[in-house]
Amino acid sequence: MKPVELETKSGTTAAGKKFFLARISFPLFGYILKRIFIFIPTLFIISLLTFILIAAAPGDPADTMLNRSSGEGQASDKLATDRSYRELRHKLGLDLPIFYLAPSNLAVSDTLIRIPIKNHREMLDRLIYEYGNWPQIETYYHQLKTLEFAIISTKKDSTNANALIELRNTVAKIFIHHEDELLTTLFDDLKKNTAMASNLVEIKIQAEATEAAYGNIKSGATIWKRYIPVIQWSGSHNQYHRWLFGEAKWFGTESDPTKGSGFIRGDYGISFFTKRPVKSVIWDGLWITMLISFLVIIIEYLISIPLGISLAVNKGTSYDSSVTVGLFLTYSLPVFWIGTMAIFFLCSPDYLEIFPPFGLGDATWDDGFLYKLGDLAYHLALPLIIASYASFAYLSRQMRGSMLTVLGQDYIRTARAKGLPENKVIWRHAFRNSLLPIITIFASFFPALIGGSIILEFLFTIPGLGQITYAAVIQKDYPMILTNTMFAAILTLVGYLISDILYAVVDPRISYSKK
Amino acid sequence: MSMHFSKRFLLVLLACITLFGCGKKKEKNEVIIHELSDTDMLNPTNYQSADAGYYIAQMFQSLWGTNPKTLQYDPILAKALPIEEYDSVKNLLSYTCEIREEAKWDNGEPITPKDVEFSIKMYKAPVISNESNRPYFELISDVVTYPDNPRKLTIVCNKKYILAKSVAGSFVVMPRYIYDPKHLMDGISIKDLNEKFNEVAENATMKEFATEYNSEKFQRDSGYIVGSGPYAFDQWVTGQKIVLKKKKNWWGNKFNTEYSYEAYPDKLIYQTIKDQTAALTALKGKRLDVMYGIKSKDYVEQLETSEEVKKNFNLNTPLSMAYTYFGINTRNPKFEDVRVREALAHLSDVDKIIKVIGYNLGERVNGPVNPYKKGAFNDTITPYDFSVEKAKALLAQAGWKDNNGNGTLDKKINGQSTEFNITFTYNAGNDTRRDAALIFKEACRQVGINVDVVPQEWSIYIENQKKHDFEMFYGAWIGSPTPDDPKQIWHTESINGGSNYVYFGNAETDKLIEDIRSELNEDKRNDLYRKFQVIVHDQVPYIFIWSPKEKIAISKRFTNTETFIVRPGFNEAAFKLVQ
Repeated sequence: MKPVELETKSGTTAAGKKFFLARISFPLFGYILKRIFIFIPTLFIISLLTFILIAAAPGDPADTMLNRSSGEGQASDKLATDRSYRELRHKLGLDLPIFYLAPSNLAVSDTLIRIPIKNHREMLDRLIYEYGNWPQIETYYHQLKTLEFAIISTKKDSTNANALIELRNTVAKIFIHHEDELLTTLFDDLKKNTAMASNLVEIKIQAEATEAAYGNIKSGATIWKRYIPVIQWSGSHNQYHRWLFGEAKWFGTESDPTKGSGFIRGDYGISFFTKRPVKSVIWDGLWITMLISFLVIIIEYLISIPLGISLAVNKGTSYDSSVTVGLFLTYSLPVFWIGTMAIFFLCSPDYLEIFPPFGLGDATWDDGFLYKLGDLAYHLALPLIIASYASFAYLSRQMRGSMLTVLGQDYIRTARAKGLPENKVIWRHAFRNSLLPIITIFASFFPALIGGSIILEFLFTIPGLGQITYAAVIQKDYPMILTNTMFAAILTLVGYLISDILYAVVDPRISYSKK
Repeated sequence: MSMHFSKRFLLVLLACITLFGCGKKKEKNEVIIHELSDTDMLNPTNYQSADAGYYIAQMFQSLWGTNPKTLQYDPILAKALPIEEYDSVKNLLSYTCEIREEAKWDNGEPITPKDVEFSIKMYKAPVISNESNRPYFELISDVVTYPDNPRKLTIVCNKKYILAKSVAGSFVVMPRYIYDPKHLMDGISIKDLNEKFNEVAENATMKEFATEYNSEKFQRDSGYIVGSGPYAFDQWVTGQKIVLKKKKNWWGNKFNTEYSYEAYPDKLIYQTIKDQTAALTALKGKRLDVMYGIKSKDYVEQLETSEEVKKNFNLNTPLSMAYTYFGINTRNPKFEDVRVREALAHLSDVDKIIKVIGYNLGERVNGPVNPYKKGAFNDTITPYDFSVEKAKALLAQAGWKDNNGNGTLDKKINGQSTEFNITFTYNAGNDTRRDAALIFKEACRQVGINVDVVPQEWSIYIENQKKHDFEMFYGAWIGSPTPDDPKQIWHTESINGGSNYVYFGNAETDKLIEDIRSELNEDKRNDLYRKFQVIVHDQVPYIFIWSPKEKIAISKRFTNTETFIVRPGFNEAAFKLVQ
């Protein structure tokens, strides 16, 4: 090597360093601050949307936790009483309004959410919508409860037993229906059944009172109230506040250990399913998913970048076209199918038993660092190949395209004209300039870092975040869903910020200062 | 250059990996059992998933429990089965027993009635996350100890109830010195929990104790999950496996002639593999010793046909306690007439369903009582045979005819001409149920009934059943070895809030159910059960389909691997390594 060349090399590096520092100068710094400032409302809106979506989804986590929603299974599991249900709802804060304020109308009641039976709430909601007079509807509901109580507390004997069964069923139907026509027939049924035995006088009185209360709703309808919009204010006693800020004291020590301290104080709550702190559940999965994602990104880039460059250099040759066809074939094969096939053919003694079909291995760090590392590599090899193959096509095409654009530039022609060897032209002059689109793509990997791959983790029983998130959604584990969503949101925002900064670092033409 | 490098690098890596994987496993005295998912926790009063119950049963013991081979109670920590006494004046049912004198905790201290009392409090106390277990224990009103005999105790139940014996003895006994080292619960009695529940819930000591007790360490940390059973909690690798280790010098070793004291393997490893294909592959590769809950299709097509599998594994198919059924909304005007329901039963080709969809891995059932419950099971009932002719005749008697000639039966209901269309719902994704429904649909088509088979998302499917908003559905129940309590499914009080989705029952059946619930004499109770089954058969609220068999593969490395009807169908602790 000539000494001149060495000098140039060190010269560029020093200049490069200086250049790098210059890029993270004040305008960029200001830009970063501004972006971080915008994060706050964005995250707020994301958390609120998640909250509303969760609340609107069907199913009731308290039911799920008491095994009441199973509807099948061990018959005796269903002994769980309403008391357990009410307590649990209270403990989880599900009996609170969702947010500080809610768009509403004059007819709607703010006490409705406290009624612990979902079907009853829905029925009352429909009545309110239809007639708009909550005071009368509330009276009717209380009267209906009195009627139910009268039926339950009436002593059963041989003359009235069947009538009581019918009455119970009819009242249960009235509790969940609002349709006028149906209710009229149900009230007729009540009359018919109270007449069936002589000792049902009390029930008869209550049934008549209930029908009268229903009549009052209809006659005193105030439908106009429905059209007057109001903002309902629930104060800080709501689910969102509880989740974000917690109920514990802000200053001094909290004497009640059952009170949480909220998301912004680092308390992510307790998982509904495992009853563990969300933090430690996520931590268990996080390192695995991070490790895998990190390795996958490295493999993808290590293979795709040289591949893309070689395709660009050999543009139009049969090598280019055959590799491209091959890449698109792999791109179009779905991961779940390839994964299942790989397990079937590469992990089974029936064919080739090269890889293990599940897990991360039995070794612990006590077995020696190298042994553990080997065990981990042995278990991760197949999942890693399967996780990365699909991206080869995309990434290498991107690389090929941008390389081709760069190779058509004037300065490349100049470099070639200078007589530089092709290798040097590509790696020293074209390579860095062709990296720009690849950096953009890098930012989009960030959410995947936390999300993981549900399919891959499922196929190979890798207990990463993808599986945890999926299980949380299935089990209606609200604290887990919220925390996962929030972290995914934060990482996505950070990812975009980092890629913006990288742009500026790589390409001197991009500037974030105001012109 | 870089291409070559990466290729060579990959090849070397692959070679290393392959070499690494070739290390042969030793014949260890460990049982590796396949699980489909990680369990929730190992806290004995707070857990919810069934798997956790199985692991806890290897680490903890109860006073007495059902022997899954005989379906009778065996004494475990109790020296003998308890003496049952009923005080008809106070309406109190009590069970008196004595704890074995050998019974010891890991620290060498004897197991005392105080530990039993403490454990009951754990199931009953507020703030503790025991909501799903707590309702059972409302039955227990007191624990009496005797100063003259430190091992004797009486558990008092507040009513005469067939499941009282199970509730009073089958909970796990927990060591006070581990779970309540500060003796915080001493000040709160079982009486307080019964009478002042809401007050106790606000008690600061109770809150302090419960927060500690609910915490992570009592769910999954070794040293905090300690019972008197043969196995100690060793390790939990989240999402992968749970390992239990046989205790050295366990006090119960000398009783190993008794079923519940058999414990031979050094380790029990519960290995999670989520994907079925991966699990079957692992089984074939002898990475698993036990796989249960195998799908019929996989069992027939992949295991039974493989000589290699049959050489290494015993394939067992014990009957299960579960049964499946078509539920009919008996208050729907179309199905109110019992003759129509009978006709639908005649249109259900159960044998075909079992053969085609169940791969013949199951048995037809005639009612809600499992045939294994001899005495209670009524073997004189013959299920409705598949007969399109009989169905046609019954429908004609009930007034269903094709009056307008469009090929579908119709009838005037409440003055309106109604076509005989049935909406048949099942839970979306359950293809075997869908296929069974399609067989039913085809038979109905032959008599002029349109069946619309509709999948519903699970929570909606269940919600609709609770609201009685369905016509017919495909459901299933799993029983337990304890006496059946029919109230939950068949009593009219369970129509709203319980599981009597089909509106079964009247004053007569309610009385019968109440009598069954409080009849402690087994023979008398069995007479009532048999009578009850006849009524259910005649009323046809359900069309009973079948009881599927369990499919369990167990490695031939072990003997003493008998399978039985009670879930999970095997007892891994009893496995003996073949010498």
